[in-house]
Amino acid sequence: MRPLEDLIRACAERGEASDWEEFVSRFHSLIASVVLRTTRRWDVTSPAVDDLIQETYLKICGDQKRLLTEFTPHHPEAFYGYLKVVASNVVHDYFRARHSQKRGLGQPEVSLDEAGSGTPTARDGADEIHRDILLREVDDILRSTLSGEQQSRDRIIFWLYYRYGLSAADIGRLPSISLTVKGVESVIHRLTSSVREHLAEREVS
Amino acid sequence: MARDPNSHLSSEELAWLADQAASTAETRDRSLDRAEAEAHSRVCSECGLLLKAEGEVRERLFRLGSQAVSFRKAGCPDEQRWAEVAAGTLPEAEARVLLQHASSCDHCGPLLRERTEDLNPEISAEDQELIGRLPSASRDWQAHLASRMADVQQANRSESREAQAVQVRPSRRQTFSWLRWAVPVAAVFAVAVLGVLTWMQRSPSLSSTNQLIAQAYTEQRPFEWRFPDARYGPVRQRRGAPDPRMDESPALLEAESSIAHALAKHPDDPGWLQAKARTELLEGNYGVAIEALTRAESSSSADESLQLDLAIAYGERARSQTNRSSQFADYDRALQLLNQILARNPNNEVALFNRAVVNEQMNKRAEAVSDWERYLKLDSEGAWVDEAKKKIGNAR
Repeated sequence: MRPLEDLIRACAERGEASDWEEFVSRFHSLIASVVLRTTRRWDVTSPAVDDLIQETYLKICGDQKRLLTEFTPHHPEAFYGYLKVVASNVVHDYFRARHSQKRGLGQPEVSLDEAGSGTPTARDGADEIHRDILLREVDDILRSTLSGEQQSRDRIIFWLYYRYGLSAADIGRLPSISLTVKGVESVIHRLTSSVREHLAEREVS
Repeated sequence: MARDPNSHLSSEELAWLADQAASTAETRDRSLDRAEAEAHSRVCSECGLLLKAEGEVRERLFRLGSQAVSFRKAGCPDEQRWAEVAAGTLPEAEARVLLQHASSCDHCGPLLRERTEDLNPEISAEDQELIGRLPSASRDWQAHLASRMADVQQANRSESREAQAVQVRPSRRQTFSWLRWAVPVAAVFAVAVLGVLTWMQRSPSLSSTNQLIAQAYTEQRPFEWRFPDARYGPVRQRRGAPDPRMDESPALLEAESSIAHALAKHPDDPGWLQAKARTELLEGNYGVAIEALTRAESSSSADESLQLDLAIAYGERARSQTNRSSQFADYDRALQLLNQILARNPNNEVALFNRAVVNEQMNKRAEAVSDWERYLKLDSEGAWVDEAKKKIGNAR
């Protein structure tokens, strides 16, 4: 197996079938996993997975210049990131186009938000007000507890975890967070304890 | 080592017991004995109560996020950006700005979660098996696709060569000798102009960034203080999710992105540090704002606009202090800074307006009225004047 850099260069500059075959084989798991998971967001029974995998590869090979510029030997992981972004965009574009086609044919309209993120359920007014008050209260606690350079990072971690349900592992992998699972959990534990103590103090007073 | 059954639960153990989803890594690394800790919490009423409280607060916090209606707002970035954030293909400074947005946006937060899950590099055994069974996993399928990719690339190259050939084909006009030098000169000129335009587009200036910040302030003014160089805007009430004041401001998001880029290159530039402090102030991060302004001040001492911003930061932090003496200390710092500015420049309208606000918030009514009256002698019409008049009425 060739080093990644040599393979990418060969694909971009020479582009023979044997080069691309190695490329396809090497990245199949990565691209297929993104296509599979993204497809599930839209339509669990879609038979289009292989077509979308093919579409992703064709898109990558259609832009040879990008192929070369996206790869830097010191950060090979950025190239994997590029492939994942292309795969994700191919799937979303495909399903968006399919949904707008359905609308054009007079089929019931499905909004992108509904199709992509599950049907949102409205809270009632009182719930919404309580939620807003608690959000504000907790955020004020975080702001007064945290200081320095880490303030912004730790608040991001806390809210992504509790408000949007990202796992500690997913948060840790995000750029500009770059912490281990343990590191993220430690931030969450520390801030949760602090919120608990402050809320208890406020309730007493 | 076995856990001492008589020792109270540490905060780590509390969090760990309350959080059913805690990673197993923690268990392995720290040898926390879950069964022992649970047994202790059952017999120790103090720890039992703490554990119950910890569990309840987690439940309340998790409820904050469930099933929110998520409509796209004006300041939300394009949906594709979340895949780039999750895949780690954006510069760190830019990603941080977007993460900040996602952490308080009910539309973008869930999108970021979806993308991080979809682009997760770890593949479950179940998915791995499923992928292995796809037709695209077969060698024949891949060989067929590879051959198609080679053809596509070949076709692209041919098209590109033909386009180049059309460009270089000699025309009769090239026989005119003056064109031999005019064309390259024009090309160089065009490239230079294009370069300058691109540079201008990609490198937003500090002044244009400050204009964006002033625009964000005017659109969603979050506090009573006057911001330098900003037009009037009515104060928006503080309510709703974290930073609702500025969540919807595309101007602020754009400014933050420019600042992040600039500070990545010039981390100690006082102008950009000041711009950062202003955005932090608008988002309610007074502590971060004070730090940035103090750093800026150390390399650009006695700058009036820095003092003005610092006064706002201290004044705003004072409002959030629960401890009376800390609150007074912050208001006093704000007052001292504004006094210094007004001693040098008694006609500084913004400083005078803000000193009136400090005095008002410190319940120094006579001083506040005196400042508002002085302000009205400097400024005679407009929305700021109307606000000052209203304030005088209230103070009296």
